[in-house]
Amino acid sequence: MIEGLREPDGGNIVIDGQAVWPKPEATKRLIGVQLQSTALFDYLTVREMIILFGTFYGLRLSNSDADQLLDTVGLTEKHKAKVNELSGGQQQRLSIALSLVNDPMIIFLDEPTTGLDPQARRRMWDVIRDISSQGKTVVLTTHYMEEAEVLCGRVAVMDKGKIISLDTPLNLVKSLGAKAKITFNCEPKLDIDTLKGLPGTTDVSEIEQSYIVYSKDVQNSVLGILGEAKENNSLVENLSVSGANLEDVFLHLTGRGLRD
Amino acid sequence: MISYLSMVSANFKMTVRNRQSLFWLFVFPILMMTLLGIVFGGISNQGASIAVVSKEKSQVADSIYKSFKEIDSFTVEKQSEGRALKELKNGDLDAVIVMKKGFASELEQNSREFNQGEISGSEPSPPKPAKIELFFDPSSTFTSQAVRGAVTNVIAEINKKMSNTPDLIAVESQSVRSADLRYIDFLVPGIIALTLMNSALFGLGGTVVNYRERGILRRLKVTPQPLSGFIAAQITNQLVFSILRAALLIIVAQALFGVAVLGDYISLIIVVIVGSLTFITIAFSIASFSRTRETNDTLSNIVSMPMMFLGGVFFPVDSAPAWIQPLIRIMPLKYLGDAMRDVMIKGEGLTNSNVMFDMYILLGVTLVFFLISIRLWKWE
Repeated sequence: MIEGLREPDGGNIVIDGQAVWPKPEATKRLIGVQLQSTALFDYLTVREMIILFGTFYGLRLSNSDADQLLDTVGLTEKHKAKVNELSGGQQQRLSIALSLVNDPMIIFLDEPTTGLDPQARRRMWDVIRDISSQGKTVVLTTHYMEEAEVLCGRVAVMDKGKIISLDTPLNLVKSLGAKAKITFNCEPKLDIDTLKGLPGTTDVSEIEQSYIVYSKDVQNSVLGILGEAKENNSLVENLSVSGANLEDVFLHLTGRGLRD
Repeated sequence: MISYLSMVSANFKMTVRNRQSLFWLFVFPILMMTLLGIVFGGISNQGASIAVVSKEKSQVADSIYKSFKEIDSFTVEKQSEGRALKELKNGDLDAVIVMKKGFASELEQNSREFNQGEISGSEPSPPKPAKIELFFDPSSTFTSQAVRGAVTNVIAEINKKMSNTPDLIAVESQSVRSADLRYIDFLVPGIIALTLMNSALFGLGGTVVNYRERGILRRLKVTPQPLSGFIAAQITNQLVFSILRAALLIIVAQALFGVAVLGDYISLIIVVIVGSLTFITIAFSIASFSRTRETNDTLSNIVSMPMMFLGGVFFPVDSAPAWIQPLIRIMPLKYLGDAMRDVMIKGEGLTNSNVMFDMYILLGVTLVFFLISIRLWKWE
């Protein structure tokens, strides 16, 4: 709706003082968009793509303008490659370069790292940080919580089309009230309510064979879990303690289990 | 405007760099035309043999015989009726022209009556024509068509001679052409019409559905560039390639088979553009129904296959059975093929009433499908 693709049935969207609807053409000039599916014209070179997209904004970009954009996304040496010769990560970066042709105030990135290998993903993070440091607002949609934690100044958690929480990553993690999470499996199983009653425990969840115990007092929680296990003749395995992160916030807020 | 022009040039680059699309756009039609031309191109009335049967000796019968004899590509002989018809059945003859007993005297009397009517100043009644019988074997379509054309022209010529109308030269040139009609001459305009249909349905329609399927149209929609400009650029490219391809086919046909274009090139280009537009609007209508490229290709096949075989591309359909004629009559490709042939083979221009009729039909179809595609079109 902000991008001008679908008309909202209620409410207002304002970008830089201009209402997006009913005529989204004006605000389309202020924003850059990278869509989730990055299909582009095959058989055009990377540089030709940039220049072509420039003309959609009434711009006549020179080769050096195009190369400058390609530099931002690290595709300089690929300027003569055809779009269909690029790897998935390179296509994603080209797609981001295309969203920058009109020097937008706001850029929307829809899951830019989905399907990329870890190396390509790090590369993408650098690109996004770079854009952000140019003073542009980056709106990033992602399923990867560590990505949001590393890149974002503010995180909105959406569930079923509603924003259920909006804050900095740090504050969101703090809101969990837990310092750490303790993960383990055990056989036979322990009573989940007993675990919830252990000292320092803020929340417990059971996902498949594992228990996740959120705690603000790690030492006492671990001792409590082990004591409980011993009493029930249960064997505890794969016990790990880690700091709570954004993923835990997401799971906590949306009620367990990542939904697509 | 810059975006439209750069879209046009981008489309051009994409097509030229895509070997597969180049093959279907240019190489395949040329191959098809060349192969069909080599295999069937020789079939013509070249060497068509006809017999002239006259039941009695007369000056008129002699002059008719001589007129046929003058046509280089015909072998003409005098025969008795019985034998001639037998040879026609055996396939030794392609056509038999029979003048009944009393033909000459009937002709003479009719013309005398007509002339007297004129002289006496009484109500001039149209002259009664004397009848010539023409037997031919309809299974050899090309020969019989050519023979029929030639006979009609020869008779027209004789008619004019007898009534002293002066424009003999025009008639003569027509008769020579019609006598020279070879399969390849018939085929080339048909192939051009066919490529206009197929490149629109499978090329343009397929591409646009593919762009929609892959989210490219959606990506264009988030830019301020209106998508109508994008569509306009696609249509422009389609038209340019259609004209280029028609030109290429004609050049190759000229070089390999000596096919000539008798009509003017402006008329030809306009027929190509109108025909192309017709199938572009049909393509967009089909694309409106198609979520995927596969659906688009299937629907396009359903639409194009009957037209390809019954639309008069590879063989004339005027002599097809009566029950199938209504189906043929609703095929836009038939009208396009007719118009192309009228211009290329018969040397007609846009002002010719047949060509004009075909053009009106095609423009009407274009309008209908334009409205359908506007109504049903989906961007996403």
